[in-house]
Amino acid sequence: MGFTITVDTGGTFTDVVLADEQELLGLYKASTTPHDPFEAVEAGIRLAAEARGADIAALLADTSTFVYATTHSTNAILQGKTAKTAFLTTEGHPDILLFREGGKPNAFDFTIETPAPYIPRSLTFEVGERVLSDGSVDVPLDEERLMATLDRLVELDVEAVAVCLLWSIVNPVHEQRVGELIEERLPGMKYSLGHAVNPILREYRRAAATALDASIKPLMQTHLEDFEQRLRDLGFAGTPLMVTHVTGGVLHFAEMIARPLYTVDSGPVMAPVAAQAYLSQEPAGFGEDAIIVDTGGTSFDVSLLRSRELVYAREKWLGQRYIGHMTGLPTVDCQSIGAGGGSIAWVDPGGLLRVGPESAGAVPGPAAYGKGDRPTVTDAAVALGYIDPDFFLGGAMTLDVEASRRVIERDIARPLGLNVLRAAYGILVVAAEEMQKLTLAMTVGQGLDPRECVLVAGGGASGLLATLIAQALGISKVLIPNMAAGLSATGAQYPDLIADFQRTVFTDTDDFDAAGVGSALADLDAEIDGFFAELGRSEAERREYICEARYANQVWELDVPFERDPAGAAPSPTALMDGFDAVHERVFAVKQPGAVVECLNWRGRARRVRDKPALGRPADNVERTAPAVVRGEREAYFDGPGLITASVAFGPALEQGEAIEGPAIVQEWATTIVLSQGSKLSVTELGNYLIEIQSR
Amino acid sequence: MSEDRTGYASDFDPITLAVMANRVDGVCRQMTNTLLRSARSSVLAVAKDFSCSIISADNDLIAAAEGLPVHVIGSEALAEAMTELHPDMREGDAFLHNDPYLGNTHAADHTILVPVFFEGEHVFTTCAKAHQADCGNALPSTYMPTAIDVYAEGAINFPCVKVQRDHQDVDDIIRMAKTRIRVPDQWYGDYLASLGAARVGERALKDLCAKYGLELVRAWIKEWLDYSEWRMVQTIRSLPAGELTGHTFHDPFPGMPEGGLPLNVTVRIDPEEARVELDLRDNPDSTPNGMNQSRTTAINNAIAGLCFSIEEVPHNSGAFRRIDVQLRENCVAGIPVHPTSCSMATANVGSRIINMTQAAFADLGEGYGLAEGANGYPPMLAVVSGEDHRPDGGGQPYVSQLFLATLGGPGGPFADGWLNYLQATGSGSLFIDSVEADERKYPFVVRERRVRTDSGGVGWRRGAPGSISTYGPVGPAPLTCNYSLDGKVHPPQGVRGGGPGWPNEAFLVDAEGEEVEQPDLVVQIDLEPGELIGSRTTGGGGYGDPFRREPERVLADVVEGFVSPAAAGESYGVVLSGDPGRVETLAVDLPATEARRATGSPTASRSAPPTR
Repeated sequence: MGFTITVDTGGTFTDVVLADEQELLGLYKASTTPHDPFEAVEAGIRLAAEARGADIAALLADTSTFVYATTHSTNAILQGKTAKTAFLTTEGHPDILLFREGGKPNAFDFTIETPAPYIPRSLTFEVGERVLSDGSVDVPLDEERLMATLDRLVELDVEAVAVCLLWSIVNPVHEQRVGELIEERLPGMKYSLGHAVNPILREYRRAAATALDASIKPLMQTHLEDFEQRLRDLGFAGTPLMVTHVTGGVLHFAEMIARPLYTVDSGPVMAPVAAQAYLSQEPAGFGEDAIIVDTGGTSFDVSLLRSRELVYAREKWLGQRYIGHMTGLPTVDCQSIGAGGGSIAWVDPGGLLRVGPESAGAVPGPAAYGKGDRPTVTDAAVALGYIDPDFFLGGAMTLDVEASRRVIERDIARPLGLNVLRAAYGILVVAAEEMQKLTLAMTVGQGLDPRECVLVAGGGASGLLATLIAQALGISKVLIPNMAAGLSATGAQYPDLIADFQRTVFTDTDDFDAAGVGSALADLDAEIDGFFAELGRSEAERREYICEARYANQVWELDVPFERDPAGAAPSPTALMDGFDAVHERVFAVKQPGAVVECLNWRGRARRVRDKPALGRPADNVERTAPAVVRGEREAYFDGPGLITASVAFGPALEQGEAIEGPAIVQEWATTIVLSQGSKLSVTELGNYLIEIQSR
Repeated sequence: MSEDRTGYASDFDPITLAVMANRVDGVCRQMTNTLLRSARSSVLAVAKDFSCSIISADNDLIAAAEGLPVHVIGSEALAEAMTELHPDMREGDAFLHNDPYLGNTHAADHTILVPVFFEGEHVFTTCAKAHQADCGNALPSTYMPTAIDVYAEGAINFPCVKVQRDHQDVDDIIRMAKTRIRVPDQWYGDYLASLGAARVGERALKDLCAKYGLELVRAWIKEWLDYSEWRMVQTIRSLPAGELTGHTFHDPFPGMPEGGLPLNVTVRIDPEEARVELDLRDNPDSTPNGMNQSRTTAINNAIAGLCFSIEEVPHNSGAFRRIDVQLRENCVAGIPVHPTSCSMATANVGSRIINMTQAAFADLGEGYGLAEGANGYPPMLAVVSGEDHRPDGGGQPYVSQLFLATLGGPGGPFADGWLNYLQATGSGSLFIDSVEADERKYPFVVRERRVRTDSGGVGWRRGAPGSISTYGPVGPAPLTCNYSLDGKVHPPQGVRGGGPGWPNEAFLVDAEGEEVEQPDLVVQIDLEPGELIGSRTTGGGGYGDPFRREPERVLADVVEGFVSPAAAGESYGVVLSGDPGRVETLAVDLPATEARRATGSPTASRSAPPTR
C-alpha cells in the first residue's frame, strides 16, 4: 500500500505530484526556495497532505516511493558554485577543455570573448604518460611527478579531481593507477576518471564530462544524503530516494552520488516521459511520433518521441553551443532556447520585430505584473485579451492590462506603424516562430516529419503558443494535458529504473570482429545482470542494445538498434548494414547500400519496468481552483476575425466529448489555451484537451 | 528604394517578413547539419570547411546561415553560371561546379547546385560548397602555392556540369572524378553528403512555397533584399565620411618579390549616398603561382573585411547592393586571366585582404575596425597523405587536411581576439580536430597541442595567442605533409597602439629528439617514423594601448598562462607581487603599476618571440 510522490524543482515553482497505486491524485505548486530547495519540496508535500486532509507525517508514512527531479547540479554549474576542481590530463595536451572542438556562434561577431574552459588552466596539470590508439603504453606513467602534482593540489585547496587521459577508453591502466594514487595520497578526495564517467572517443567530450562530474560530486553527495535524511525525518519510510537522470530513467540516490553527471540538465527530460504516458493511456489515435514542448517563463524546451520511444542525442550543450560545455553523454534529446512568457519584444535598427533572447524573468517580470517596463510575450497575451486579468494563477494576482498595452504601443506598435493589437499578435507570432525553428531543426535532424507528429504541450505558457507553433509546422493535432502546468513532475511518475553501459570495439562489416563484439556484449550483459541483481531480480526486466555506427570513413555515428541473439552471438554484419542504411536515409535523405559500415560503440541499457499510475483528471486540482463563473465572454483579438467577443470556458468544467470551436479561450488553473480560428478543442476520455487544427 | 526615407517602411507585413526570413534561415541550418553529419573526410565532417546558401531564381544571395564568410558571399555567381549554361535545367537536376573562372572560389571547393522548382517554375537554387580532401592536384594537397598556372596546379575542373538528371547520377561525371581524385570513395561519400544537403534544402523550400504560395514567396524575396539593403544604408550612414587606406604584405612565397607581396586597399565611405567603395585595383599583377584571388574571392574577402568592421547586417545581395568592389584584370587581388592559378584563393592573399580592410577601419577612431588576425597553413593545418600500414590499416591510402590546433584572432574594440580563429576567411567557423579521432583515422600521433604563451599581440584588447603542436607518423610508413607559412615574415599587426602577434614557425623534431627549425615557407616533407613536425602559430594583433589594459585582466592572463609574468611588466606595465611559480599568490601591485605606466611606454621586447 503506498503513494508515489514526485518532485520537480523549477526556476519559479516546485511541482509536487501525488499518485496512489491506481492513479494520479494531484499537482501542487510551491514557490521554489533557491537557498534551500527542500523547503519548497516540504511546502509542496504539505499542500498535498492538506488536500487529502492528512498531516505530512501520515502522508509520508504511506508513501512507498519518492522520485526527485533535481536542478541542483545544473544550478550549481550555471552559478559557478561547484567544488574547486583540478584537471589531470596527458602530457602535451593541457588545453583540451579550452580548445573544445572549435566553432563560433557567428563568424561576423567580434564582440564576444573566448569562453573560459570549465576548469581553469591554472588548475590543469599534465601527467607524464601516453597510451596510443591501439591501447599500447607508449610512455609509462611517471608516478613520482604525479605525486608532486597531488601534493600541489593540497596546497591549492582543491576539493575534487577530474582525470582524463588520452585513449583511456581503450586502455584505462593509467587512469586507474592515478585513481589509486589519489586515494593513497589524498584520502577522501572526490575524483572522477574519464573512462568510467563516459567511455567515448573524442577527448574533449570525455574530459568535459569528467570535469563536470568531479566538480559536482561533493555537493551532490551532500545534497542527496541531506534530502533523503530530511525526508526520513518527516516520516518517509519507503524505498531509497530515487533521482531522475538525463537518460530518462531513475536510479536510487546512492547510485546517482557515484555518477552525479547524469543529474545535470535532467530537469526537462521528464516532459517526454510524461508524453509517453499520455500517448499510451489515451485511447484516441495520436499516431506514433510526438513533439513535446514545454514553455515556461524563461525557457522553451523541445523533445521528441519516435514510435512512442524517447529520442536520444549525444551532443547536448550545457549553455550556448560552442561556448558552453558538451559532455557527449547519450541523453534524451531535449533542446532549449531562452524563450517564454517573459521574453522581451523589441524592434531592431532595421525595423524588424524581434522577441528575446532577453527575458524580464521573475524580476522585474512582464509589465502587466506591475514592475516591468518592457513588453513581453505575456504582455502581448494580456493585451490581446487572452489572459483574464482577474483570474491569473487562480486569482492570486491581478494584472495591469493598461501597462501591457502602453509598453507594446510605445516599443512595438508605433515604430512598426501597427495598431496595438496587431503588434501584440505579432509578438506571439514571432515568439512562436523562434520556437518552431528549433522544433523543426530537431525533428528534421532526427528524421521525423513534424506534420505526422502530435504536439504535446506543457508549461504555463504552452496554451498561448501551442496552436501557433502547430500551425507553423503543419501539425494537425495538439494534446494539452490537464497537468500541463506540471508536466515534468507528472512525467517523474512514469520512468523506469534505467542504467546504461557501454563498450568500445572498433570493427567494420567487411572484416567483422564477431569474437570481440561477442565478448564486449557479454561484458555488457554481465553489467546489466549486476544492475538487476542489486535491485532484486524481477519479471519486469528489459534489455536494449544499440551499436553506434557509420559508413566507412564517415566521422559521425548514428545509433543502430539491434536484437540480441539469445545464444550470445554478435549481430550479423548484414543486419547491421541494413539497419544502418535505414537510419541514414531517414536522417540524411540519402543512403549507400552495400557500403561498408564501421561499428564503434556498443551500448546496453538495462530497464527495470516500474508500475505506473493511471492518468486522469486529479480531483484535488479541479476542486481547489474552480472560479465562480465557469462560462463567459471576453473581448479578445484573433487573427482573421480581429477583435471579437470570444467565448471563455473553464476547462475542468467541460464534459468529456464536449467541443469548443475557435476563436475561443479555455482557461485552466495555471494556463490559458487560445483557440485560433479553424481550431477545435475537445475533452478526451482522460480529461485532457485535444485541439484539432485545420491546415491553412 | 527611395533615398529620402528616414525609416524603413513598406506595405509588406513586417511579421510575415520576419517569419519567412527565420524559415529560410532554418532551411540553411538543416542543410549544414546534413552535410556535417554525413560527410566522410575530416576536413568536412570535423573541421566543417563547407557552407550552404540559398539563392533566388534571379541569382541573388538570400540566406547563408552558419557559412564561412569566404564561401557564401558571392555564391550567387555559381547559380548565375548554372542559369546561363543550362537554360534547359529542370526538376531533378543537380550541378557540380568548381571552376574559379566561372564564379567559384578555388578548385578545391566543389559546389553542388540544385535548382528548386515549384509548380514548374524555378524559385530558388540551393548551394552546398565543400572543400574537398583532394581535388586531383599535381601534389597530394588541395593548396598549390607554387603552381605556375592551372596546368601545373592540376585540379580536375568541372565548369558547372550536370551531375544528376531526374535525381540519378550522371555516371560519366562521377567516373571522371573518381579516376582523377585521390581516395575516390572518400570523394564520392563527400559528394553524397553535399548532394544530400542540397536536396534537403530543396525539399524544405518546396514545402515553404506550398505553404505560402509562389506569389508571396517571390514578394518576400524582393522585400527581404530591400529590407537588408535598408539595414546596410542605416549602418553606412552611421559611419564618418572619408577615405581610408590599408596596407599589408604577404610573405615572399616563390614567385613573389623578395620582401613579400605588397597589398593595398582603399576604402571610400560616403554616408550621404550610403555607399562604400572597396578599391583593390592598386595591387600587383597576377603572380606566377597559386596565390591569386579568383574574382569571387577578391569580392567576398573585401566585403568580409568591411562586414567584420561594422554593425552586423543580413549578409545577402540586398545589403551588398550598397558596396562597390573595384577590381582590375590580371591582378593578384582582382580578376585572374586564364590560365592563372587561384589554388589558394580562399586564404593567404584573401585573408590579407580581409585583415588590411578591417585594420584600415581602425583609422576611423577608437571603437572602429579590428587588428589583423592570423594567417598561414603551418603544419598543424597541413594536408597529410600516405598509406596506412598499421596492423588493421591494410595499406589503404589516405589524404586529408588537418585542423589540429589554433591560430589567434585579432583584438578589437569590444573583445580580446577569438582563440579558435584559424583564418580571417573562416573567422572561427571551422572546428578543430579531436586528437583521438585523428589518431584513430590516420596513422599518426599528436604529441602536443597547447596555447603559445605571449604570442597574442599586446593591446588594450589583446590578440588571441596561437598554439604549439607536434605530430608524426606511427607504424612503419612515412607521412607526407604539405604546408605553407604566411605570417612568418609578416605576422599580424596591431592597430591603435596594439602590438603584432608572434610569427608562424615550423620545426622538425628528429628521431633523437633534436629540434630543427624549418626555414622554408612552402614545404612538402616526408616524415619518417620517429620524426615529428611542429608548429608555433601566430597570435592575432592587439587593439589599443596595452598600458591601458585593466590590470585585473593582465593578472588573469598571467594566472591562466596566456601572458607571462615578464610580459605583464614589460609590455603591459603591470607589476605583480607574489611568487610566479605559485599563481595563487599573485596580485597586482597597483602603486608600482601606476608608477611604471606613468614613466615608461611598452617595450618592444615581448612583442617578438625569444630568438633561438
